[in-house]
Amino acid sequence: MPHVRQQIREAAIAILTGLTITGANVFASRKRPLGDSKLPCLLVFTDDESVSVTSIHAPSVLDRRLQLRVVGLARDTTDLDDTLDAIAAEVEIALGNTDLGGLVQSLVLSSINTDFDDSMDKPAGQIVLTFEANYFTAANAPATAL
Amino acid sequence: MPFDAADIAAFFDPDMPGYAVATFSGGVTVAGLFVNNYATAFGLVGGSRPALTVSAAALPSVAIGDAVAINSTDYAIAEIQPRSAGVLVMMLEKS
Repeated sequence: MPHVRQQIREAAIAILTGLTITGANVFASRKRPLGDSKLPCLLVFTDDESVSVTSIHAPSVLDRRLQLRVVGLARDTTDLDDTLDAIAAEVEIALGNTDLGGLVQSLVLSSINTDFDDSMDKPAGQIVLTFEANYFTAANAPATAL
Repeated sequence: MPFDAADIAAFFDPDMPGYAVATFSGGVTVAGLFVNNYATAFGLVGGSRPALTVSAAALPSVAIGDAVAINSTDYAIAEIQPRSAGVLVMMLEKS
């Protein structure tokens, strides 16, 4: 059974697949740049995590706060800002009231960052939504969310 | 010895790699060198970076936003980079 981190990532991808703007273009762990046929899209990453111990008995219960990063990518010659903001709105609605199938105690948006690159044949933009996913596991059972 | 018009014209020869005839607004045609190299943004998005190099004397009043057609593709001029050798490098954006 995979680590809860992977389960969270996969649950987020399932929820984000099929949104109006990005449709089926939702990917995890991309290693190569995406071409126009895959845009606009969402990339889902499970990043750094802080862990604290909440019990003194063994095995310890771990309070885990995971950074779930959703990156919206688009290329457009007009209204790129509007497209990225619309992508963000759809992501926020989709993830704004979910416990990812019981995996997390809370999933809260913590930041949004944007970046633009107009050096190519069409401008590209990204909007990065970072969520904090709070979940618990036993110290010796990282694949089971408590 | 600085380049003269004949020196610059030698660069825009049909035998040169990337030679293309660009058509600007009003039907003005100019010989140039066109490149369309692969480029990426944020390490996540793949695309290209089209650029056209022409003699500055051939386009005395070109401006950002001007339309240009090259090899049956329509572009707009996104950036103009004058070079000291009497040429202009124009970064293009697809229309």
